[in-house]
Amino acid sequence: MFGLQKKAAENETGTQTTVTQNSVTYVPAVDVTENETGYTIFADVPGADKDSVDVTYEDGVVTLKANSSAAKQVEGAQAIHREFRLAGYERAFRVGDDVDVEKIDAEIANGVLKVSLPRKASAKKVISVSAK
Amino acid sequence: MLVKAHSIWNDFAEVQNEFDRFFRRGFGEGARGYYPPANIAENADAYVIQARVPGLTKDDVSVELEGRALTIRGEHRRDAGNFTREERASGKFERTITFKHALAADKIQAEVKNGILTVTLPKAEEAKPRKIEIVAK
Repeated sequence: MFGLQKKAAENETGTQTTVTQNSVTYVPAVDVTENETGYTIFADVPGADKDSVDVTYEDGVVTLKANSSAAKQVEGAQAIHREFRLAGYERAFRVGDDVDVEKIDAEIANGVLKVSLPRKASAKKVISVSAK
Repeated sequence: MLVKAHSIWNDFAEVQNEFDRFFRRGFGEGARGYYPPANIAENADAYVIQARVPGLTKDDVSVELEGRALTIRGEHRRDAGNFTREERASGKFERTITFKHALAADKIQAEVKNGILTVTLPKAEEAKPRKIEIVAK
């Protein structure tokens, strides 16, 4: 159902990173669930809020983009230990024909982006076979 | 200035040792290394710890200070469902970070917002750098 578009070597925190020009873009960890009504993607994008996420659909590919710009910056203090960055996030998924593109929906809460991809109403058709 | 720089490196080494210890010890529930990832910043008055806890609300996290040891506990809850891809963290975690300076336990502040836990830990008065007046006689 979902083809992985971009994946780089894992680093020690278990997230994957791809480096763009000047900043780091993480490939966020995701969970994907599936049931009869559709698919749901949950992506970890800590530091992002409603204004810093962007979900687009184009040519059968759903792209999730986010940025940690909503995270509180620590001012006037010197970093003494760093294990993660407040960076950008980007990940794309190929979507099957069974998804109703018009009804793709996204919401963000507590740094988790949830994208709902409902299935199209069943297009099942029984073809009768005639004997000759 | 030199003295200050020196003390920061000492602190860094302290914290680093603590992390190393945890890294080697690992966790019983199978979490690899230490979790959650945390950034630590310091100024003359306080330490600021930011930890990456996507999906958690204030009810899922607890922060406890015992002496100079700060412990962050929490749990990633997840709804039941038919998962076709499962990469995000799940389950309980606990991490302790020990600091060199005495801390003002009554002034500790913690907040969780957009999946980032920020803990501000003011240093105890006696641990703050102090300028000593030199009296000429």
